[in-house]
Amino acid sequence: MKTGYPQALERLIRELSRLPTIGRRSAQRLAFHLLKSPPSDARQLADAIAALHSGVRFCSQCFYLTESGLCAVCSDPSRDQRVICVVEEPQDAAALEKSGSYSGLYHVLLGRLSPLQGVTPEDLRIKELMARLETQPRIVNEVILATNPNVDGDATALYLHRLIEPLGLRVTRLGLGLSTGSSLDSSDELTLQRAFEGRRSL
Amino acid sequence: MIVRELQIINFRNLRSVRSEFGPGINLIYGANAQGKTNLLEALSLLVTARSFRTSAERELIPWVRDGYEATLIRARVERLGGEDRLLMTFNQGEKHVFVNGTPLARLGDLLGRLNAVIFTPPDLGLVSGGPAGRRRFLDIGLSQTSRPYLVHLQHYDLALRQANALLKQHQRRPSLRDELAAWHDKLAAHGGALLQARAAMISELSALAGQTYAAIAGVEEPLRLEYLPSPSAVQAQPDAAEAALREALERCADDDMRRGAISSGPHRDDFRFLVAGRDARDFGSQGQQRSCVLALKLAEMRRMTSRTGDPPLLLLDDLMSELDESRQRALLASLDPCVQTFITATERSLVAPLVECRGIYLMDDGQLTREL
Repeated sequence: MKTGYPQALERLIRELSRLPTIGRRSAQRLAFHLLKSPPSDARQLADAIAALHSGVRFCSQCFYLTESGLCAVCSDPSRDQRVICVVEEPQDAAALEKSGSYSGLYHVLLGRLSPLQGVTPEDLRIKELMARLETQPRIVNEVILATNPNVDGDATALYLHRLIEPLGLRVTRLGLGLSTGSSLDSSDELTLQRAFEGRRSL
Repeated sequence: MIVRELQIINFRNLRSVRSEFGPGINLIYGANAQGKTNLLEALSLLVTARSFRTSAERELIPWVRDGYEATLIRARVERLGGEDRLLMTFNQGEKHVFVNGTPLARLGDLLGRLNAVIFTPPDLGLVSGGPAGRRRFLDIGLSQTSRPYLVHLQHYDLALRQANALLKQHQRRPSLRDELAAWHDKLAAHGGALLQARAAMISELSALAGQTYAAIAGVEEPLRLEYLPSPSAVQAQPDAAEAALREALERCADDDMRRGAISSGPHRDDFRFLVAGRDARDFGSQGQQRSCVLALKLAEMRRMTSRTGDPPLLLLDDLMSELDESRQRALLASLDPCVQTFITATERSLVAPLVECRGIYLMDDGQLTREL
């Protein structure tokens, strides 16, 4: 079906609709919004998008986000070099950073195992993780597997566990259970079950 | 549970239906293709969030209607300790469910709100048909009475699809064995829970169905259900299901890698009906097989009632034309006046004179009219 829009507009709509959660209808709305706004708005957005890849890189050691070379965590000498926390995505590391409860290093896998989507161990930064552990055996003594507690994240953690175990390092998984401020009667049964399994003595 | 009020807008041939219903037997009669089954199907969508007739959601919306905007199914349900307002809306795109005005994040969260045993003519092939139908029967029942079961089922299904995808697409990978082990662990954890729950359900149903079979079949023959789990070791020791499954996955890993699919686990389960010790699938007459299904469905009613403390709905779709006279009478005689039952038939006289109906409705060209 021909919409008859000028080519520049049609092109923008097509590009926007390739983004996740944006359908053609939303893409149209965004494009028309930009068309009605001052040209400087569109320019600013274009600049921000254009600068993204030249301004953001993955840390050469842990694959967290950085502007160049090592990320702020890896280059901070006050961080505990003995612990590496493995997460799926940079956002997960950012969430842990925000909590302020962790002072060790990270390793970002940039994904999780999912054969259905064609994601294999080679597609993740697992080789790099193993290299870090094998070249720094005397420094690192614990690996925390903080992949998400769902089917794919669990399987990824189990796979890593089997790889890392022979190195003789301590391998731990983040605790699962009730969220703070929630109540028992509003928690679903599986959360309660996992909370029971993960109970500890006071 | 009692559906006090039901409203349906734009569902298949039902343009606008709104009616009140009471406890006990509600008869909906009318000629074929007038919308009786559509009404039961709409009701069942509030039970399982899915249709018992089709997996193609497109079929649910009316396909020749100008100005169509959305389909809406709404019910006021009286349940133990309160009342729920359920609302489901959908169109060509997304489906939304609301309970008491609050949207549910996942369709699965609807399960357990309105419980029902659904009995339609294809179910009569439950004994003679393939194992997938029997597993579906187990899953629909258990998902309504146990939320953890539903979650395990969803997780097991995902882990199974992941493991099979790995085996099919990545057969030549050198690290396949290690990757497979990670999925094995998830399969064993969730699959073990499914096996254990199914074993318990079947032993419960076996006892209940055994009590009613003789009355339905009209002969003094014992009926027993036998679980045929995968792996078979679970039969002897259901409590150790997870360990047994883990062991079987490990043992079959080389074969599975060659074949490109996971060969053991609850997705390969089955159960059989033993009438006087003989498998009704191989040795039973059609009448015997149908008596088995009737006994099973009635047993499921009682199992759900004892699990939740609140009798589920019973939806009986067009069974009168499918059953012979003695089984029709046995079915009607077994209906409990405390259970809200929706029963459809082509003629009023097929049901109304034989059993006390609390409501009688005529369905004619998508219009529902109350007659009693």
